[in-house]
Amino acid sequence: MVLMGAAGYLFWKLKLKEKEIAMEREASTRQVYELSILKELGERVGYSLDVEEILQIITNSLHQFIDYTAVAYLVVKDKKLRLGMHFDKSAHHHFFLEMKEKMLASLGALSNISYDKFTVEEIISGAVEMETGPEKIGSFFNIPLVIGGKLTGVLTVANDQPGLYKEGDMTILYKITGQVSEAFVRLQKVVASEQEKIEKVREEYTSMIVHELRSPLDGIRKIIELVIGGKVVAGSKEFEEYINMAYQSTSWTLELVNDLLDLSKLQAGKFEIVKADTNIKEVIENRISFYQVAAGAKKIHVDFVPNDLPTSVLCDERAVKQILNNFLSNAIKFTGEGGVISVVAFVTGGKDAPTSPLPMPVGFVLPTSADLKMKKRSLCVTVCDNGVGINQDMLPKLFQTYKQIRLSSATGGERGTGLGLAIAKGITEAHGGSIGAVSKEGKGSSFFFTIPL
Amino acid sequence: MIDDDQFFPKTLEAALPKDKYQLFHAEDGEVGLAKLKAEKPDLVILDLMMPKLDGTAFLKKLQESTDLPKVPVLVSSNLSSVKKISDVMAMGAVGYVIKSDESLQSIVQDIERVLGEEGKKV
Repeated sequence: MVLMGAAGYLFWKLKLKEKEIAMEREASTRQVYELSILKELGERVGYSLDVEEILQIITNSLHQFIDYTAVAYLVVKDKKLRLGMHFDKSAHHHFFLEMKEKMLASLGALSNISYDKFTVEEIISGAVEMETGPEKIGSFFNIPLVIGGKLTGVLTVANDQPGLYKEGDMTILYKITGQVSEAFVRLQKVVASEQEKIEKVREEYTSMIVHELRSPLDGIRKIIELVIGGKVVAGSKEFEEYINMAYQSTSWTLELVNDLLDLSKLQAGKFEIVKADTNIKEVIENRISFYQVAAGAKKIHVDFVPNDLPTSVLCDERAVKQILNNFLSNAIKFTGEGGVISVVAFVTGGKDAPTSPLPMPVGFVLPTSADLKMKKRSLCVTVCDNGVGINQDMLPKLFQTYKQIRLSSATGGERGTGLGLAIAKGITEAHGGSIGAVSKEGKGSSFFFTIPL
Repeated sequence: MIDDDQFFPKTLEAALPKDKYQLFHAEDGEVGLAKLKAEKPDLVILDLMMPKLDGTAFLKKLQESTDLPKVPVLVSSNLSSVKKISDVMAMGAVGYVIKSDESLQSIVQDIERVLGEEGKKV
């Protein structure tokens, strides 16, 4: 008896061990499943901020580890309910209705809201067979979907067989929805903080513009106030000084308003580019001669090197002049007394592009063919100077609108809206060309633009 | 007056009664700090958006410093955001003038009022 008892005990022990092993195996299989599902979900959910899309991905992946007749999600979206149900096996219409009812009841109980009056939009997919198949739900379970602490919907798994689902199945789904919800909230935060940053830059830009527009206008008004109040007498030396100040303020405001209008047109895509055959050589010569006076005042020598230019280039003459005005006035502004400015124009790129170096003048910081970013044969105009140069950190920001509006006095009395380069960029892009600059602090800068021929 | 605008100091100077006031001009906060020590004015009229040391940074320096003279600061700027105004008031400014909302005459009145009140305190 004792022997029998011992054998029985051993047998019982062995059975227990077997059971443990089986359970462990099951547990590890589950873990592997879980991991693979979570990984796959992570990849597929990716960077979506659409709850429904994420739920679709979850429900479509479930069949890998849970056996079910149907799986469904119910979410609240803009005062409406969206029900998405996927049938793995075909079932009767009654099965669908029962499931829908259970889900509505579950969501209602969880959120303490009655959804009776809500319209439900239904999306049904999979093995849909509404006339035959099982009519009744045998077993099912609900998982609430909570995102950022807020109940967003429910996930339901149902089978026509009774007594199927165990705690383990629910745990997996809990984990999955939990992880997805976390990822979702993280992404929401990232997006929100990015939007905040953009909003902040926009606000700063607007307040800067408001400031820069108000200041000169207010200056003019205060000058007039002095004249009206008799504090400054017409014909006096003071009067002349104040009138000059008012003139400067008016010119500056007009320049800023023009630039802002151009820029908003460009941003709205309404900047009109009227292309016509243009003698580019003449246009450049015209602009250089216009700026000779300003350059002469600083004893800056400006030369022009045209290289086999075509007799005509299809472009908007007025707009190209605007770019040249900007490049030349900047070059004069940032080049010291006795400096040199060289304007170079040539055609390069395309199939018959020479491999020889670009026909550039010597003694300047020059762009390479790679800097010009030409996809096809284009006209390239470069304005080189041996001025103060630009800090490498500033260089990429020069052509950005929001970075550029600056204090009128920040350049040491040199006035300019700082929007000119952003406008030049818009104009060049409207022509299908590219724009850029290379520079070395203390050595000088070269600004270039290209226009495809 | 600490202001990078070239015109505002001139127009305000012309509007101030010459027998009562002398106006020193500094074009940024750094020059402003130097002139504050050198000239020991009765009032600082401070702009906010300036190169080098801006108005907010100037106020901060004034607040933290132990050796700078304690001078009332009237902020005059074309910035009109409520936040900006409450920020500088919290930093000890005695008043805030939105330049373009005021005439020279009303700014002069503000100056007289601030100096009058400060005078009473002493």
